[in-house]
Amino acid sequence: MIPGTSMPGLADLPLHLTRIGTGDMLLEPRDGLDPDAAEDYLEPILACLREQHVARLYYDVQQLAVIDPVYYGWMAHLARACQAMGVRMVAVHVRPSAAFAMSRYLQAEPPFATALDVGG
Amino acid sequence: MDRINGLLIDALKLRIGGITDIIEQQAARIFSDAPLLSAEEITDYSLEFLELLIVLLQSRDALDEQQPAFKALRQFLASMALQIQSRGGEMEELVRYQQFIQSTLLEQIESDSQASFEDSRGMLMLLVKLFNELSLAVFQTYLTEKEGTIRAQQEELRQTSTPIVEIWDGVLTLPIIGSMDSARTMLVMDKLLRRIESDRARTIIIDVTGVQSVDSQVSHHLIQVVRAVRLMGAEAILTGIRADIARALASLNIDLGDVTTCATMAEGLKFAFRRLGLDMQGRVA
Repeated sequence: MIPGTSMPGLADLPLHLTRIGTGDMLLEPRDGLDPDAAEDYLEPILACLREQHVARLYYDVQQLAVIDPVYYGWMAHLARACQAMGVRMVAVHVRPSAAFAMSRYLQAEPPFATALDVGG
Repeated sequence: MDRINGLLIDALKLRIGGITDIIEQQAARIFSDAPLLSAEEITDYSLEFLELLIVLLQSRDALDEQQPAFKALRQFLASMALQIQSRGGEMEELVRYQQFIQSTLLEQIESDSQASFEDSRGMLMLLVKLFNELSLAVFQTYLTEKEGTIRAQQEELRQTSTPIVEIWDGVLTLPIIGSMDSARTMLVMDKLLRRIESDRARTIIIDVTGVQSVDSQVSHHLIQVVRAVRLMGAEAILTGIRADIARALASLNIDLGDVTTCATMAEGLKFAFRRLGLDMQGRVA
């Protein structure tokens, strides 16, 4: 676990959650994030989004050269949970290799939007 | 150096003048028609060849490909082959040249009345084996060179057949010409996704006017490209789907429902500009 989250209550999670504007937050995963342990991260993240009245969550995947089906599963799970709370999730900085890999196994549109940059 | 090699060297040295003259005359006939080699070049090549051959025969095992003298002779022939090739010649000319040298040498040895039957036979066998090895080595060099040229041309064709052009800030065009297979799709996708990342492109117009035919594999590849573009956060617009291709897509049950399509690239451009909030006005000067 890599500490260092900017939000209280998320200090022990391997991710960084930062407010970046009115209604927007940025989630940056760290190396130690285990997509199989999605349930451990989900509730604290959702609680934080609710507390901060977030309408849009930017998920920064710049660190990921490849997004495999397991990791994609975690992102989709988070996106659907966000959707249930009225929060729109946008994956940003998808690297070419990651987009290429995802396009090979995805059969339908992902439950999150994508953008080149935050705000895009 | 064994006895046969020594005898062969002596025979060659004894007749070197005559052999060179015959080779030059014949080489002139082979190479001058094109013309692939000048008279001076033919003389130089013929002399150098015989010199290198004598050096090779002086070495311990003339048939050992790893020894420097063999490599030198092979390199000499390879350079000659490349020069002939670069001047529009074919492998055939060099093979004929080599065969002629071989037969000239064999004739000269056969005409040596002083050599015993066993010695003549030994020299002939050695020459035949040597020339066979050399022919093989030169042929391999030629093939390697030819394959390299073909690979380079294919790569050049791949690069030029998928020109990605930024026609406006954040708008890329990609006209696809020819057929799409898995290898080409990967190349196109790799180039395109990298350009999206480096140019921060928001809209990509993929024009398929030049795609000759569409089967289920091609359509699958196209959809994969569109999906990958979208995953990067950009939008792909598919343009130029001809009537026959649209009919093929329909009969293949390919659903392009979630893909933005326009009839022509011009329509695609207008669509892209509208999405970017650009107001286009047609004016006549």
